[in-house]
Amino acid sequence: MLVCNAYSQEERTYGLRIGLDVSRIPNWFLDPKMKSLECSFDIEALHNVYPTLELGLGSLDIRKENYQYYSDNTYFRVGADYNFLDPDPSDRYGMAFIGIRYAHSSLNYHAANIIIPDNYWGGLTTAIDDRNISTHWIELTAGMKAEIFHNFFMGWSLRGRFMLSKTKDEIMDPYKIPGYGKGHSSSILGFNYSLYYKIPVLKKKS
Amino acid sequence: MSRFQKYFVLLAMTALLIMSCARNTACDESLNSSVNLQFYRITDGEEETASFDNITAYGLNSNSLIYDLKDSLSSVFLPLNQLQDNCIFVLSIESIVDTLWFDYTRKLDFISENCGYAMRFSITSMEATHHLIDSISIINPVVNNNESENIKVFY
Repeated sequence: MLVCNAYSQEERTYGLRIGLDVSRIPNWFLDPKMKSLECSFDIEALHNVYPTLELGLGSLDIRKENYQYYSDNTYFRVGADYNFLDPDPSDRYGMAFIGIRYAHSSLNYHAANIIIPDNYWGGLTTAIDDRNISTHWIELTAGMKAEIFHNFFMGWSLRGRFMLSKTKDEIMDPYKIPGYGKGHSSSILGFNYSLYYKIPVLKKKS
Repeated sequence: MSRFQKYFVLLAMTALLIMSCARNTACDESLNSSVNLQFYRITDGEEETASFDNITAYGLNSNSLIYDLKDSLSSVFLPLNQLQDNCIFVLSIESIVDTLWFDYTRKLDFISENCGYAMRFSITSMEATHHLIDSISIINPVVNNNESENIKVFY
């Protein structure tokens, strides 16, 4: 007599899930000084374990009367999420997860037309020449993903970011590092809200 | 839509709302950096705060006065010159004149997006004449906007 576990005999679709962080998009219009774009790639490589790669780029363009600040950066995060949600017949691919990432950003910034007024001795106009700052950090993630219709997902996650190291710059830390947060902070709480599409690659009994 | 998905939408809308709040506060930090000198007298081996009348101070080669015959001051703030690495002040107390020389390093400081940059100083050396001044002591060489005591001047 065969004993069947209803879930484990069903087929499960595995594939590469590509995501786009849409939480950054409103800021393109509401606060155009900082723009960034982030996409993610994850796959269920082991039961409930999802290795993940996130790639992003960002730029800052701040123009004020007393200074201009420009920066461009690229960043990546690599790690994995672990799903601890029991499979549900109405949402077989939904996840509630915790995870970890190692992250790195390479950023160039420069500042121009820095005006520091002084009514007594006289004001100063100066600039900061182009410099490159490399930062490394660890992220702890916690969040959820749900399949809203076939192979399309919505998901959010909270990110605890902890700076490991950054290039020492005697003048300033980068003002903001897209993908991380404010450059002088040693830890940040971040948020991600993404839409995903899973490209089906393999159907297998789980 | 499952319950799961409804929570998503709610959370997403809340998050997007929070993110769209523009934070736009004007600059409320002081950008200037002045060296703070406080006056003391030594009585019976104890230092005590001293205050004087008739105080005039100005930077050498400048056209204006920082203090103009002010009374009852026990400290003065002198603005360091961000255009060079040194500056000289003339300090007159009750008509007795002393000259102060400062050497320092300068550092740009990014205060905030709304304020921009300020110049901060770190005093490397200081000299004074002794017409009224007995001695000077550098307590904190870092000169920024937090107005803490930098120099003790003993009379």
